[in-house]
Amino acid sequence: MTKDLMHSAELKDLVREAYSSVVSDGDATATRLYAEDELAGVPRSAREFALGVGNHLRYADIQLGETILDIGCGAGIDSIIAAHRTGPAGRVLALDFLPEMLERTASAAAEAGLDNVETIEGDMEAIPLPDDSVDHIISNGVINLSPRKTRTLAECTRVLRPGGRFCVSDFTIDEEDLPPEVLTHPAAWAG
Amino acid sequence: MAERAFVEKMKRAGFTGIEIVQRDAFGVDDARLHPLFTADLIEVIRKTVPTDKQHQVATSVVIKAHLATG
Repeated sequence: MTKDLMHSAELKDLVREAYSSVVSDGDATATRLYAEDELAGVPRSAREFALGVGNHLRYADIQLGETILDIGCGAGIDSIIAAHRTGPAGRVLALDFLPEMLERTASAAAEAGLDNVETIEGDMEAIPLPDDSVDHIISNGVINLSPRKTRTLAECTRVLRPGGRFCVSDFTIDEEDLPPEVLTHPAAWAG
Repeated sequence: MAERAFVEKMKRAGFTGIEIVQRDAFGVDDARLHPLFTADLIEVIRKTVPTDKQHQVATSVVIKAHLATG
């Protein structure tokens, strides 16, 4: 058996625990990141559990009819905005490894009257989709949580069609600016 | 992960046209809203990062890229 030098299971447990126990911040994150017109059509339940770190959808040129993959959909705010943009001829595949997040996304999509959001339980390091099946990948503050980012990015290129696009928000850190006490914290390992 | 490492991993994965289209400071007060920044990590940051650097303990970036059309 291969030794897990990345402590992948432990890091995933840490992420699972952090996100499973998340409490709503009201809509502080949603209103910090998104303009009111972008939030039109997004149910309050999805706004109140927005956990993103940026607004990549301002730059994502989503076209009608596209198949969008939202990696780490959380409570669904970006999946819902993307679903409105791709329209009924398109679809959003909302991927998360936490069933409770997928339930929130499905519930918010139903509340928004969207039937083009499909929730998928799975790991971004082994995306349960066929090769060349997605036009556009979006993600918000999630790829940094992968213990094996190289593998996750390879999975992205596998599922994207030739010419497919990728537009994500995420964290980066400059290790030279942070003290060892922060860099060695378990949460920093996950990020 | 550092921005240059992220970009390098994307290149190795086969992405092209990689652009960082937005960068924003992510300070300790922003971090408090994020699940990964646990209360104990926030406490460590407040104690160990100089006050004048706490407005940017990370950077939020928007990254765009695409695959070649083949």
